[in-house]
Amino acid sequence: MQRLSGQVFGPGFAGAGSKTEFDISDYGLRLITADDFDGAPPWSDITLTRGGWDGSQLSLAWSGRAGRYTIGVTDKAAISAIAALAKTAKGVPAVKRARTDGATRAWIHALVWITFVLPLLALVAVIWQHDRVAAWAVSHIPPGQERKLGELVFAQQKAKLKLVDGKPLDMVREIGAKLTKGSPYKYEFYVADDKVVNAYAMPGGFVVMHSGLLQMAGSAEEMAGVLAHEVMHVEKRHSLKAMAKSLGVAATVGLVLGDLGGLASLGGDLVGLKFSRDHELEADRDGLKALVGAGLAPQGMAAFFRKMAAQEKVDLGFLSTHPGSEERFSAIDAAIKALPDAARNVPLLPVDYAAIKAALPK
Amino acid sequence: MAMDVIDYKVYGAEMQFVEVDLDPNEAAVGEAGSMFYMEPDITMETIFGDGSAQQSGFFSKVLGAGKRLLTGESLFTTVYTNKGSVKRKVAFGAPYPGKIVPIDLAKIGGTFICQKDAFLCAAKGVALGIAFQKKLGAGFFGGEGFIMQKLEGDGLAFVHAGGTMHKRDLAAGEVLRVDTGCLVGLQPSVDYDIQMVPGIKTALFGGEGLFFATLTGPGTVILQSLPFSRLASRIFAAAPRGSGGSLLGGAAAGGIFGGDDD
Repeated sequence: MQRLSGQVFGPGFAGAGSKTEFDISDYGLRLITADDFDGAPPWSDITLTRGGWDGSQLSLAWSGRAGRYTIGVTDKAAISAIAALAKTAKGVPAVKRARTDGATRAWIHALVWITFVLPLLALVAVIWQHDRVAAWAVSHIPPGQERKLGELVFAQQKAKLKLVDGKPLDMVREIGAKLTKGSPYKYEFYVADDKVVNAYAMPGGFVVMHSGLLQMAGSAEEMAGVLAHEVMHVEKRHSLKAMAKSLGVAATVGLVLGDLGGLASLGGDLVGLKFSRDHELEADRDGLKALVGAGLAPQGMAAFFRKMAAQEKVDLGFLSTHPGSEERFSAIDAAIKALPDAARNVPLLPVDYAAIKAALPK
Repeated sequence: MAMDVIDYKVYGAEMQFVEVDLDPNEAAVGEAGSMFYMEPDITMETIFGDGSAQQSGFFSKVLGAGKRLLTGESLFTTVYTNKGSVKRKVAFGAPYPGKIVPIDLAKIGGTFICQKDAFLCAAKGVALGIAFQKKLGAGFFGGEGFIMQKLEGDGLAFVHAGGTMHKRDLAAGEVLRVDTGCLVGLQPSVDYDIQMVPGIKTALFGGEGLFFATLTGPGTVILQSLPFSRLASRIFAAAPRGSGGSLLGGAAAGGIFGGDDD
């Protein structure tokens, strides 16, 4: 026999119930506070229900002569004592559970799924498949939008650049026009006074060559090789892909959480984005094709990379984001060797490259 | 532990306050910022936690205070003790229109579960804890959230909520369907669940939302006719839009010079 406490409700007790003690035994329960016959039912007359405000209380209910009685038990130890006794005593009915009705449960499940689980699954899918999501997103950016983005980035960049005109710019534009014939993009080529050997492209067709790179190139063909590479970054929308890839997950998280603040500041970092190794190799490969298509001698591209490879040990900005020049040189060299003779034996451009170099700012 | 037995009187109709009589050395705890006035000899001591005797060690005090934070109340409570030799009064005001209801914890089995923020003041010794709703459906859609407040002890506690408060004793098995958000508190023996509003037309256009809260006896429940959030949304909807504001700066400037609410 064990003595437990609970709150008893029923005929003769207050509406809010009365605190009570009761004994449980193999036979049944007996209320200490009431010596009435009604207060000592056998187990077979008692209904056990798990319920209460949070579903963790146990109620013991039975019918007496005066009406229905219920004891609510909140204490965890008391609940487990009753459960333990229920296993050994005879005739103890199974514990019923107060349950939400079926239709309501179905709605709860539907709403919980729609508001929590599905967005979470979508988020996981986006993170998992972010390459494809990025590609999909990029393919849905209209060219006009791309141009606007390029203008935005270039406008920011322009303030920091010392742009150069004259002979070098004319040459870059002329060769650039050959390389980009028939392109849907409206290209703008610039030469900036910067000793760092570098060149870069922004979305929508903005291409900037550093004077340091023009200085390092030995011929117009070598410069054309680099230009073809940069043009391909634009054509293949590499900036947008890199952007979508690095911002894609964050942007999706933002979208899911309803926060667009993170998307607003995307413009400035675009120049600093790193292209992936695959993007660089793709730009090399297609750049080479563009050179051939424009009737330019492709050997210049290989020559430039050989120069880069030789200087690899020297710290150069252009190299930091690019695959090993040696490796790229080998790949380009092999590709050139595979070209038909007609594509390889192209007359050189009638450009006095020494004069171009001389016209660059010192 | 024996709780301090306090006498009280509730004043006012729609904006109420409760005046509590404290015998010498009796004490009451009040939600921070709810004190309205107090007579001489009453000392105020702000303590970390709820001032119930169960909280002995530092760790349990931190835990108790953390629980208070979860229920949306401040980390501190203030204990008002009568240090004089005669009976003194201290009063606590309700923070918004509504009613104050006294709950004698001894009479309802020692535990009462209530809405977050509902607590106003109590006899010292009443423990303020959190009660976590374990039922997913009731927690998400019942209108009270997953965290409610648990008042434990055998003294008197005062809770406050919006509109008119209605105390009702439910017999065993008696079911009351209540608009979500209108439940102020209940005895733990009351089964609290939700039920789909019948009929898709009623659910969508009836204005009651998708669910009712269902309360099944036995036990006492306290309901409120006007949840504060509902009043607030009506006021917000009626508030004049547009730029500007009062020329004089209005209430914002007044806030600098005292007023113990936040």
